[in-house]
Amino acid sequence: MKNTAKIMLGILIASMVYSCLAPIDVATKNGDAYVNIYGYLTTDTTQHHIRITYSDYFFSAEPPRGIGNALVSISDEDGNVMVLTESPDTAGLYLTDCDAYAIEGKMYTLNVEVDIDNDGIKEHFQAKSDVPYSAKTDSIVLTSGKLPYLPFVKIYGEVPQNQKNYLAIYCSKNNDTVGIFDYLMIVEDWYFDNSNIQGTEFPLFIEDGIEIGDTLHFRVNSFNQEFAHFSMQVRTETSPSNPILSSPPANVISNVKLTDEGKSVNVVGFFSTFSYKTAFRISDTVYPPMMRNDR
Amino acid sequence: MKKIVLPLLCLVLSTPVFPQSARFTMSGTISDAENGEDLIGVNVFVPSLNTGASTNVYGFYSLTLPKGKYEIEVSYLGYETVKMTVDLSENSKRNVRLTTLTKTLQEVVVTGEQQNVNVARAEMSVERLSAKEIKSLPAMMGEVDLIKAIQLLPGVQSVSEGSSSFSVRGGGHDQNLMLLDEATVYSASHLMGFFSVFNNDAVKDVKLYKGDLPAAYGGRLASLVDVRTKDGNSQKFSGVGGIGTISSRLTLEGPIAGDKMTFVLSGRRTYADVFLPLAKEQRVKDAKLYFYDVNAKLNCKVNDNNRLFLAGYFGRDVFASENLSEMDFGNKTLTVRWNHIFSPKVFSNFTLIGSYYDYATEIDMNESIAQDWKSTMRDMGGKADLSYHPDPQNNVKFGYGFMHHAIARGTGGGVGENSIIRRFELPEDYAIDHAVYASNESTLFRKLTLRYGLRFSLFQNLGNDDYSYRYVDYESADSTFREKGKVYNTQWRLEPRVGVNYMFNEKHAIKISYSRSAQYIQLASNSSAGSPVDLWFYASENVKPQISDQFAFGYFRNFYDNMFESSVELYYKNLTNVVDFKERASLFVNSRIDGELRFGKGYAYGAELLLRKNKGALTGWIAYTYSRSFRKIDRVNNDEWYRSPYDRPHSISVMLNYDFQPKWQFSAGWVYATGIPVTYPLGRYQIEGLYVPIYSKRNEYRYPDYHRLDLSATLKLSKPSNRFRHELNFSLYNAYGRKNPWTVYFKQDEENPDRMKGEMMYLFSVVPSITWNFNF
Repeated sequence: MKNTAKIMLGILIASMVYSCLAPIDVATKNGDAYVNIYGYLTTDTTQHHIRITYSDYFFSAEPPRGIGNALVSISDEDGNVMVLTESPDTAGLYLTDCDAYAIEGKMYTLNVEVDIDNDGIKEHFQAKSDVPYSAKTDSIVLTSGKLPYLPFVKIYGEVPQNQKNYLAIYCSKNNDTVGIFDYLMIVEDWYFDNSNIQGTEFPLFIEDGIEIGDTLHFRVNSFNQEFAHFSMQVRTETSPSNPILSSPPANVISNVKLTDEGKSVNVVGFFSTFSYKTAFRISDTVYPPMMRNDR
Repeated sequence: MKKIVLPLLCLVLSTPVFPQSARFTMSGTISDAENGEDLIGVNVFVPSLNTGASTNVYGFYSLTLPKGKYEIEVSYLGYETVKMTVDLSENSKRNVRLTTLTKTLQEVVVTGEQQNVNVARAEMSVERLSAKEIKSLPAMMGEVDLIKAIQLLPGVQSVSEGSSSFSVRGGGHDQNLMLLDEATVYSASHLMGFFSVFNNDAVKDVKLYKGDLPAAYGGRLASLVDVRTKDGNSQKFSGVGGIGTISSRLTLEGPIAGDKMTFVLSGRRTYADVFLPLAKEQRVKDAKLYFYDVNAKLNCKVNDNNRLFLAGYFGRDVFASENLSEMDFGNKTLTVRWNHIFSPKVFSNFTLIGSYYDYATEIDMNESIAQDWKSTMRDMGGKADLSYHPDPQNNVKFGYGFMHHAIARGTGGGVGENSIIRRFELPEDYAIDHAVYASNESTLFRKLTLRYGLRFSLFQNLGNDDYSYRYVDYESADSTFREKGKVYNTQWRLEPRVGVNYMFNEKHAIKISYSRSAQYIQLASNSSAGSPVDLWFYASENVKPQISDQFAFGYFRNFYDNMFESSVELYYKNLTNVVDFKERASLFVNSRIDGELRFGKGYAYGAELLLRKNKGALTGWIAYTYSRSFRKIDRVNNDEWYRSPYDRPHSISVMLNYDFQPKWQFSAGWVYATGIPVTYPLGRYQIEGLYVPIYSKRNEYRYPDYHRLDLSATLKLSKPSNRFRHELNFSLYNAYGRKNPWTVYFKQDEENPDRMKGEMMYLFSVVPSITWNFNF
């Protein structure tokens, strides 16, 4: 809702200029080196991971270099500590046990110790994140909207009352995977008229259409405010900008801090914790692909 | 400050001392004999005294001379000079009608001004364009455009490809005051900026003041664009129009009751949407995409001393996808003016002004998320401007104006019983501004003209039955309930304006000026080009008015009997209380914008060179501008200085017209400018397979340089003596297909996702157009 007008303007601009694209060579100098620490812990019981890499020249053609030999742990406010072990296959990838999970309402702290500046002393990085309570999704229904190729998914459920809610909505079909930044939208509390999301509808942008028997997966991630902002910033900075609607570019925020006084190491990335709920529905209706010309 | 202000006040308020021998005043209006339009800037000259006067924007002049018999010359470029003998033994009224030069005698002239006016006038940093001059420029998509013409003038830069927003001398695009018949136009764009709201057929005269504003005007730091529309043909019913590639237009004008009352009615509409049903894709078939606008004016000569004008503008852009969503936005302005001549020496203009801008959206994809949205801005006010002409050596102006502002940031939300979206209504913001000014243009010696004035501006925030928040160190400190309509915050500034013109002779002069301006209203947008959904916000208890101090020096020289005009202007601007925004400021639907602001300072400097050829078959100009602009904003760019988005060191514009009498006219325009400053990524890090950029310092890099060639040819299909005249105009915009980037972005290579590649979006390749123009 908040960005409705901007989205519409974006569509207008895109419709006017979509075909005028050309490659361009851009040369910049290399910037300062950063340590990138990124990962998350969810309420799902599974193996989670933290990835630690170096930043790189923007126009490098190589994958990021992992940073090994770090001590990585995640602790909760009750003093429980999970120690992560480095993957033998991927440098800089640190794994939890296979049954790790976060508990709603708790605060978690990521601690990373690693010698970045090769002075023989490990630098200490830390990040904290709380786990919001999840939104209940009782059931979902697939409905038709005004456009034949744009179905809506109707969700029944409830939004927690004791917190600020940032709900990231995801949809996928059959075995398609969706990344954490592939959300349909991030919805804030004020969007809803009341706490019960009784029949809240979201447009379902499935580009290649839906056939009878397709399984539609639906997921609602409950982010905390910081991670919601981080997610939106990542999406903004990795998408095209335009002079009419875009703010000046800016670096994405990070919640990872270097805790050693007197040391200077640049750090980026994010440690987050979130809860989520899923639901699925098997389609009994055909929806044509979005881009078909004969509609 | 007092050291400057007191002498100025004395100068403004002092009564000039004149010889006490009997003096009488000749006054009147000067108009075009063919259509009755008042002529602006006509020279009324007394050769024996080497003195004279010129007409104001309403065609009025006043000349006070000792009793005697005089030869008087009334001259205006493109018109036959009228010589008359006047026995001035009492105050007299002389209205003069000038006849255009016959075709055989007429030299091709592109400026509507009299000989050497650029040298003689006390003002500097002023550019004037006539409708005729604008019409001679190559058209984009068949539409000649006033703003696009302004962007070709020295010191003026487009802020992005295709945009109607522009920067003057490194200033922000919200630092330009756009006036249409005295009413402020807040959003001057149609179709995302490809066209401006000004229909050239309705325009009579355009004047651009680059920072050095007359004392009668204020409220913006960088420029004033003063657009005056036609008053209407008092001699006969006439019309002008055209049918173009994407739009058509028609202007009708004529007398209503003899020559006492005239009207002008002008409209245009684009019709790209008419062709959309031919598209293959259904969603394109169902789309709407058009704009229209209407200018209307009534002009009533009540008697010799009183005239009334009623002018209005209404325009709208509509963009919609059938059964899905709609968005529309537009301006409305209304001006009621009363010209009253109190005495031959005192001319007055009283104006009531209304200006309104709104945008609205509707989404109707599904009843549970059906929603709408509306935001508005409204100005209502008035002003009184008086001029007193005690003698040919002095032209005193003074006046008062006020304006009530209201901004409704947003009302909307869910629509219908089944919508699950909350409705909301942000409180309206109110403010009122006042200004009192006085100025004089005084010829001290025959070669020296002094222009000085003082403007006192006062801005008051009014309560809205809501809380205002006070910020300390950018954090909300406390809040206070503000009763609706009650003034709760007042700020004022003194704005001196001074200029000196020393004429070595009638062909060359030097000019120096100093001007201070205050801006109390600014755009709530941190994009570089602005958009229709941007609203404005006020100076407040947290926001001081932005201040600009501009110093300028110029040398003006004309050659070969005014065939060539040339000028060099140097300027330096110091900016204080510069308002900018924190990174990723939330400006949309935010009733507490003050918390998103950051403050700082800035400066700009540059040089502008202009060579203009006014006469002959070949006319046009070459302009070169060197312009730098920098900012330092608290907590932005690590508190370091950075290039403003409008810092573009070099720009050149070359405009040439060649008239092959009697059939063809050709014109060409070439523009070049250093690329727009941009912040590029230097480094990257990977998250979830995405490469997230790590940026350079703000605006450390630039887009590729901008350049473009436009061509146009006009074939006259009828004789000039015909009652119905028509012509065909062929235009090529961006004739050599330069791909000027509108935006540059980076994406992962599909073959090697670890490689980032740059891609640019450009708006135009070669754009041909054809327009059939007519007039009768």
